[in-house]
Amino acid sequence: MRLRDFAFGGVACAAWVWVVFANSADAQPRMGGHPDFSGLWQCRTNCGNGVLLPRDKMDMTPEGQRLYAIKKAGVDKGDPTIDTGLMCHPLGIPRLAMFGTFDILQKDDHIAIVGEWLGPAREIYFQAQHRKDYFPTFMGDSIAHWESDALVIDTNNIDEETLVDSSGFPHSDELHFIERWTMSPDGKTISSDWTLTDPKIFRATFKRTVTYTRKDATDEKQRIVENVCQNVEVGGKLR
Amino acid sequence: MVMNRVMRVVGIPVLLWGAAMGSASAHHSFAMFDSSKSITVVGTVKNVAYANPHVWVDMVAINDKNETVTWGMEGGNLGGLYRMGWTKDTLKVGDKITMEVHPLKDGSPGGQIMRVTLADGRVLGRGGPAQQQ
Repeated sequence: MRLRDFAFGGVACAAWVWVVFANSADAQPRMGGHPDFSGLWQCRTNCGNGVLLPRDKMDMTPEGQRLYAIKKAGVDKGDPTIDTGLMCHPLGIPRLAMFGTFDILQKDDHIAIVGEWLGPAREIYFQAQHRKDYFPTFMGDSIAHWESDALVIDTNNIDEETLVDSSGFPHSDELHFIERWTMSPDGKTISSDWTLTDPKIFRATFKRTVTYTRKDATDEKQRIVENVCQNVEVGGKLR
Repeated sequence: MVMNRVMRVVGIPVLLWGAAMGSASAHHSFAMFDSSKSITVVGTVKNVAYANPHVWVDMVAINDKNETVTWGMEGGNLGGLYRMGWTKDTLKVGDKITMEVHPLKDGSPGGQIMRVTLADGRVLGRGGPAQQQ
């Protein structure tokens, strides 16, 4: 074999390896120079209707302590006027970022997140400024930007009716919620580093990491199903 | 043994049931159930409502005074149940079933569904926590 043939063979082999790995199911999908978070995902770590904020570690303002006492008592007895998800209001953000299955659709100018659990979709545009003067909403107002391969989502203007977690932590109109998403090299896991601040309620910044794992969208049992909260009459009683 | 546990629970006055469930407004909390206790109820399906956020199953059981008592059982959301093997035909009125539930704290006949054994012997879970769905 001549040296030229040997070199050609080496290049071809390297190209084959690149093609195989770049198109492998285990590769991180890319879009426009960044990870492509599109796909079906399952909240996996620090999820569910649990306690996000450890009470013993939270340093609250007097107003925070006053509100927490009211909300915690309401949650503990299942009072729907306090934990309004019990009467079918959306749980809001950040609680709904901890629940179940999500279908994420990424485009050049925005990301849409369709969650299965009892809440509207999140539409998150890549822009620098929040919407001005809009009303508070359950899911808040979210904008995003890229920091290298990390997707940073910044949310404010979340309705004060919602709770920060299922233990009853309140928040004010100054709740500021940041998610910093990174995708594993194999494309199978999202790690979302959360930072929450609310100077009216908490004296310190709170951090948490929530992870999501990729689901198999070809399996229809894993896909999103309709989940509309409803009050139904069963046997003559409203349930 | 199973029936003994059932007898103890259904012996509590049914009046409490009306007080707990006769409210004019519905809500969807599991706070009213005692998650530290499990009881087993054997009976017949009276009503089924496949609805979100929680499925409802009324079942009729006989207590230790040979009285007919209707139990209201609240379960998981439909997506979670589906992923655990439930379908729209899993429970029908008249089916003989055995339910393992967390009972209502106030002792009236109702519970949070943990496990159901169907007439054909199949055992289905409650739908699992949100992170498993």
